[in-house]
Amino acid sequence: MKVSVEEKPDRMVELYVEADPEEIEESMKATYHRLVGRVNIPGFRRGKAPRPILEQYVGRNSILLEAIDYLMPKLCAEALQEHDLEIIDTPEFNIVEREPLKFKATVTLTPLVKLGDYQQIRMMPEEVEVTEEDINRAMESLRDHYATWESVERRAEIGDSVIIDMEGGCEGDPPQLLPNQQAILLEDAHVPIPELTAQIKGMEKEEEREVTLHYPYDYADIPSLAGKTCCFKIKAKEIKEKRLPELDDEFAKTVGEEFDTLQALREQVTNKIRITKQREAMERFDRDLISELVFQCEVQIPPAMVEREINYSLQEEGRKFGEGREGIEKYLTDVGVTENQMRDTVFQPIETNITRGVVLNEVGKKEGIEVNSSEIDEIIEGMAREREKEGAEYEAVKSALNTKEMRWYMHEKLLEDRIMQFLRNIATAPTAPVVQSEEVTGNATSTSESCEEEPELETTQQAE
Amino acid sequence: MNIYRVLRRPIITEKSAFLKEQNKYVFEVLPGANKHQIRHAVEKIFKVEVASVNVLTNAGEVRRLGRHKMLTSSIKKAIVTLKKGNKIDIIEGV
Repeated sequence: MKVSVEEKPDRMVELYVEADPEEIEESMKATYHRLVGRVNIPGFRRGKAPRPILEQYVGRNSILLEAIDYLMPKLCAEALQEHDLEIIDTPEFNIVEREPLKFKATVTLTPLVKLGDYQQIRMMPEEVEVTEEDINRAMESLRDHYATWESVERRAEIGDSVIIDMEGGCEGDPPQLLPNQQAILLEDAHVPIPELTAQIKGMEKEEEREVTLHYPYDYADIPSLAGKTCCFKIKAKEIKEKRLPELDDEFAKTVGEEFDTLQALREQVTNKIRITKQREAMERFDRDLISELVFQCEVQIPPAMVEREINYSLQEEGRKFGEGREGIEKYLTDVGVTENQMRDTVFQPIETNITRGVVLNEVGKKEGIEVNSSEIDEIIEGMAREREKEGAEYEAVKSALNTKEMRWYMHEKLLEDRIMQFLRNIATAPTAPVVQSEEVTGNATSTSESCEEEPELETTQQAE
Repeated sequence: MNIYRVLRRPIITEKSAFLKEQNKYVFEVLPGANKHQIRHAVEKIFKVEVASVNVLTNAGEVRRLGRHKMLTSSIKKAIVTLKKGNKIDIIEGV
């Protein structure tokens, strides 16, 4: 086999391969053995026809083409190994000549990453502070959650909940009866449309009104109603007012039996807010850390890789609406954008995510961070035991978690967590101690290497 | 009898492929041809030396087409053994 390699831009490579006659003959033999058992030749039992007869029956060209189809990937793999190239996708083959076999394989290489000096990255996560305002906001939210609705006899106002019967329909649709619909009158209500809120406001109990609703042309909640005019006869059956509970010990006990006093509840709320803020701060810190890491690196991501991921995401989203292209079209219609707009906006972060993943992987490889199979076994065991306590069957949970996909997912997640923790440790580590200038100049020859290693620290310290 | 009409076609089957390894070639021949005529035809057409000829006739079978019974034709086969060193090239690759 003769191979020549031509590098192309965007991490693409073209391999020109010329196969030896012996390799082709071997592949023809193998193809003959594969075909002879499948083809039914008159006068011969299946699998018993000699090669010349089979060639005459199906045509030598057909056998040759099939032999080439099997040979090309094999030769391409050997060529890639010979030249130490790693690829991310299946190669694209073009036959230049059949006999002797010469073909061109276009492959996409794995992303190229040159790591920067990530050991020098220093940053700290934000300090988290829980303010009184945060706590009060959370307490108000709890009050709202535990609010009660009590019937009143007055006219409906903003903030009330009105139970209405609706009878009527939209243009082109048959009239229908919709009993006991709940309408919560909010200032900025857009469900179903603001017009309805304005028309229910001021109604008394048992009052009937006729309302006309004009749905806007861009009404996305129910696309079939967009642009339509609907007439309803509504009757207010009940008007309820929201009653917020008082913030006292009784309210605390309502929220949870473990809260004897309001103060205990406030402490729990404070704790939860702190945990949430810490988590968000850590997420921001991780994002900034990765941004800094990527900034220092030189990364070349092949566009073919990004395109493949975008196509995969589009297919996955489209699958919820139907199979194949039809599903994708329905998804795009539902969201209301064209495919190009989708690629430029929603899927734009895909390249960033790929870059992130590739750089983290490279750091992991360089630092020798690994995840063993036994560790994943332990995680699965732990998860199965936890679920068993909740009443699930241990063996069933274990076999559901022990699939190839789940194990791969756990492996990747654990590896990423470890690499991130490693980077966090570097970023939050204190800077190395400064070497005093007398110690450096006292023995120039022996400390010349150390001078080269830490000139930055010296100058920084001196500047301070 | 015209020698070019004696041999109708070579028989290509699993058995004939096996016999070919023993330097024997199987032909479908005219039902009225005898062994001398077959030998003469093979030697003249393929320019080989024939060691021996064996013949057999497969009788036709009765088949039904609607309400009518029909008889398929009989086939006479000749197994021609060539002398050592001879071979028929046209059928060699077949």
